[in-house]
Amino acid sequence: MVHNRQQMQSRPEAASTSTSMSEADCQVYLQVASAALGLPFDREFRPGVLREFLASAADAKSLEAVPLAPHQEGVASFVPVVVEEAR
Amino acid sequence: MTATQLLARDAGAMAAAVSAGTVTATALVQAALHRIEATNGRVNAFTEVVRDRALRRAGQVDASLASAAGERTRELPLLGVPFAVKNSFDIAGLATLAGSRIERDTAPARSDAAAVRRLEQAGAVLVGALNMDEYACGFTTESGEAGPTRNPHDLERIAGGSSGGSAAAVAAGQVPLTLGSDTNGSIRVPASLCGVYSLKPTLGRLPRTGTYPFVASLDHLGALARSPADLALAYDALQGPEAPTGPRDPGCAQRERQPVMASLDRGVHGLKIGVLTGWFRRWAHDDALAAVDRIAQAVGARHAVDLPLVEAGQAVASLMTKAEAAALHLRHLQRHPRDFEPTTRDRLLAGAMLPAPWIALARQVRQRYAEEAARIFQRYDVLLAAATPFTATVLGQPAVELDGEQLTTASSLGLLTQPISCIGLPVCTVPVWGSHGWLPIGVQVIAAPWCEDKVLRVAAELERAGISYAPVADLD
Repeated sequence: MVHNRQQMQSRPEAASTSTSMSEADCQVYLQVASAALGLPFDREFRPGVLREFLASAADAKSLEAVPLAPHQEGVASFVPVVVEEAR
Repeated sequence: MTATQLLARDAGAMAAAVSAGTVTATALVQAALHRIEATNGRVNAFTEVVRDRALRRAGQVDASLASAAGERTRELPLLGVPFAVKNSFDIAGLATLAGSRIERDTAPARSDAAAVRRLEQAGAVLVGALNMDEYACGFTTESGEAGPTRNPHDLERIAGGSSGGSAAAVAAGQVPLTLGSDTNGSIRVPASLCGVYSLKPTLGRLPRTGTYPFVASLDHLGALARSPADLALAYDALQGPEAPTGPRDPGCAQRERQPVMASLDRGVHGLKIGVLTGWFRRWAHDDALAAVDRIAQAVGARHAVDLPLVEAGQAVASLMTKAEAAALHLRHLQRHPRDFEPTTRDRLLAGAMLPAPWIALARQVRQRYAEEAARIFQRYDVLLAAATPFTATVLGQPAVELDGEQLTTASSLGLLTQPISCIGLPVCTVPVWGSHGWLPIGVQVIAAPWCEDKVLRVAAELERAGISYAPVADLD
C-alpha cells in the first residue's frame, strides 16, 4: 500500500489521527462541512479528499506537540496601508 | 564563435559576445528559437513561444547598440540574452495559464510581470512561457494542461516541478536563463532533477507583481541557469523595491538592492558551513546523501547540524499550502470542481475544510521554528542538504521507497525543500553528477535570510573547483 508521508507516520494511531478525530469522525465532518460550505463531495471525490484531510489531521497533531508560550504569535504579514500608498 | 555555439554557453558569455559585437542579439535569439523548434517536441518545456515579440525586441537591442546610446546599452548585464518564464508569469497579450486549462479562456495579460520587465530592462529578451503543474500544485510537471515535461537528460523521466519547464528549458539548451516560482520546492526540485543551478532568494526579496499566486504567504520567485554567475546577474537585475505608485506586491519587503555579483569570487574562506542531518538524511536515498557528502568535503564542512522543529516546519508548510490555495480557488471549486485535475481538486477540497485553529497553530509554530533556525545561523553561515530525496523517477511512477516505506512520488519530492522555504531562507541549488549512473541530483546551499551572497559564493566556488556543473543535455 502506498501512503503519503503523514499518513504513513500516523498509521500506528490511525484510530485517533488528531485532536480526537478518528477516520470515521473525519468522514462525518467532511460530509457536514462540505454541505455547509457549498462544496461538492461527490462519491468519486471522497477517497482523495479524505486522504488529504487525514494527512492534514496528522500534520495538525504533530504541531500540537510543539510547546508554545501563550505570547507566541504567528507571523503577521499585514501591514497597514498609509494614505500615500493607497491606490 | 557562432550564435549556435554560444547557446551552449552561459548567459554571461552571451551578453559579453553581444556587447563586444561578435554576435548580434538577433542572431542569438534566432539560435534560441531554432533550438526550441528542434527540441521542444521531445522535451515539452515551452507552452508558448513569442517569436515575433522576441525578434522585434532583439532588433531593438541591436539598433540601440548601433545608435548614439550604444555605449550605455553595451553595459547592460544581460544584453541580448534569451530567457523564458513559467507560464504563471504575466506576458502582455497572452492568457496567464498557471498550468491550468481553467485559465485558457481568461483575458490576456495587459502587461508583463515585474520580473519580466526587470530582466528586459537589463537587456534580456523574452522568448516564451514554460510548462508547469496545475496552479503550481505538484512536483512533477505531469499535471499541467500541456502534458508532461520530460527530463532532457533522460526523456523517459520527469523534469520535476512545479517549475518543470523552467528547469528543462535550461538543461535542454533552449535558453540559458529562466524564471520560476517556489512555494514548497518548485524551483529547487526541478533544478535538482534536471541538473541546473537555481536561486530561490529570501521570502519577500523579489516582487511577485504580475504572477499567478499559489500560497501568498509562502510564494517565492527565483531563477534557474547553467552557472552561479548567471544566477547572480539575474538576481541583481531582479531585486530592489518597486515604485511607490502602481501595482506592488504586498508580500515584498521592498528592500534596497544588495548586489551580489561583485562578491561572487570571494570563495568560501571564512564561511562556517554545516551539514543538515536527522530529517535531511532519513528522507534521502544513498545517491542524494553521496552528493551532499561530496559537496561537504569540497567546502570543508565537517559538522552535522540538527535543525530543531524541522518536521513541524514541514507540517506547517503543508497545512498553510492547502488552506491558502483552497481559499484562492474556492469559488471555482464550488461551481466547477471537475475542471481541476483530480489530485489538485482533492487537495483543494480538503484544504477548504481545514479547521481554522489548525491554520492559526501552523502560523504560531512557523514563527517558533524560524526563531530556532535563526539560533542555528548564529553559529553557521551556510547549511547543506540534498534538494530531493532521489534522482528523477520515470514518468508516471506513482510511488518510491523511502526509509523502508512506499510513499507517493509527489509527496516525497518536496520533503527536503518544504521545511526550508517554510521559513523563507535563501537557497542556491547546485547540480552534482556521479552519485547516480547518469542522472544529476541537486544539493541545497542554505543561508540566513537576506544572505543570498553567501549561497552564491559557495556555488561559484564549487563550480570553479569542477565539483558542480550544468551541461546542456545531448538531444541531437
